[in-house]
Amino acid sequence: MVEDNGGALIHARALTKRFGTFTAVDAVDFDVRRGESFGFLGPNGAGKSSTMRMIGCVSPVSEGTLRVLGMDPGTDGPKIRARLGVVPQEDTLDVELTVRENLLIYGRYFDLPRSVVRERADRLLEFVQLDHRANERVDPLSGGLKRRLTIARALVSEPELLLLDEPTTGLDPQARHAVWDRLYRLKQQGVTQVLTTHYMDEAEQLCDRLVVMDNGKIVAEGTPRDLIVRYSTREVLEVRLPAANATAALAHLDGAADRVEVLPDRVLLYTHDGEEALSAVHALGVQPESALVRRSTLEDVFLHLTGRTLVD
Amino acid sequence: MSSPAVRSLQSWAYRYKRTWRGSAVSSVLQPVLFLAAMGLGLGSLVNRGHTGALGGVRYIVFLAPALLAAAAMQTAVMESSWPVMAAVKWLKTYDAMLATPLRVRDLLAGHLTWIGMRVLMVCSIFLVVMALFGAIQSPEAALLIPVGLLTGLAFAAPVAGYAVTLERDSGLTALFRFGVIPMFLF
Repeated sequence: MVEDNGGALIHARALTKRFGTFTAVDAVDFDVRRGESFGFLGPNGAGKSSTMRMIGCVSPVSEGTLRVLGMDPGTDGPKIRARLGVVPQEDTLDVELTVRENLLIYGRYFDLPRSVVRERADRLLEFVQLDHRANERVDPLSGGLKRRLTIARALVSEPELLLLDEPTTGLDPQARHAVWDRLYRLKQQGVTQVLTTHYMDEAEQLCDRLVVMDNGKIVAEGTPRDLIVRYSTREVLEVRLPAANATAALAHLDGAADRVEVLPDRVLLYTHDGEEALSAVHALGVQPESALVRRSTLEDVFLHLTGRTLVD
Repeated sequence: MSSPAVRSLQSWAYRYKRTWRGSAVSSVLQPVLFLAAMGLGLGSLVNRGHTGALGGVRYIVFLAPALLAAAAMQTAVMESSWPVMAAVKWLKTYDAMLATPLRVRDLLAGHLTWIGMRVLMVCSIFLVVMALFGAIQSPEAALLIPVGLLTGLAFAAPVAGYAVTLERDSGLTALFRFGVIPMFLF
């Protein structure tokens, strides 16, 4: 049954996923609208992938409401999956087959006629710039090429909604930019995208709107810019202090910024005007070893919200 | 239009079409070697004595159907152990399939049917090699094929069920060492 959720492609209320006594996703609410790029941002183990697997109709919902394309994943899984494209966290390619054969075999899962799949395969390989390697076996290809092939494969069924679980984790900078470029083009073509990432630059590049998850809960929601404005300052001054008089100097820095964060190797001063803060630091008689003024990024927001403790 | 289970089956056939050479060679070599070594080699010693216990036929004629059944079992266990575990854990072929309209039951039906087809291939080749060795005396020997298929499926389903539950493949090694090989030898 198709329901109207105000045009939302994905509609989640109090969505929960439990594994035994462990709660991976804890009553989250979110809506993803048609045509937007929506991100789940969070440290490892925050519940991003569990949420994605429920949206992808491969992991049953423990509690709460989830509607994908207006349907219930519990009863209409195959119908929903027919309209989704999935780029999983780990590549699931047929490594014995060639690049092109991977698209042909995948298209058949969707019951697309062979001629249609062949035509789309050629077009998609060109789109991800793999056409010149179409007849090579997948196994020896680099991680970046495999990732692009996985994206092409997810597009064989011409999905309305593309789910990307950590699309560029483990790739080198060139490969990441190549993937981002293709995802941006897809967005321009109107493909709705939902992605998870723990890279802030990726979220800033790709997401119109995102939620920050931590310990299974959504701790913040908004556009990348919104979040920076709300949870950080305009600029950040990073200073390194000489070890000898660092402790003494720290006591004075407090007045120079809205918020001061002391890290093992440097001190961050969150402020509206970094240069002014630096002058204030100098005026206090503190001589930093080095000082850097930069704009606030999503990373500052992220670390502010989820803490700096290493999560395993 | 084809049913989801048929599409899952087709994918295994498609993979096999591109990687069949190795397994085809062993499908022919295995019956040739066993029939030559045990049927003819060992048989030449057995045939010198009283063959009354063999029902009056040559040893190779007596032995060959058992070797075919054993080949059916081995093929079925082989195809339903490592390939199934790889599809779950290493290559994640099942994960890829489950992201599409295919359901778990389609994967099961398709893969088991494919293993059955592999058993049929192995049994058919075996029967032809038996004929070349002169080990067939009656047209009823063709019944070996359905018998081999049933034998294979009787092993394939539980072994596949076992393989999906494993965390490491040492369980499969043990299955061969303490299950399949003793059953073949004794």
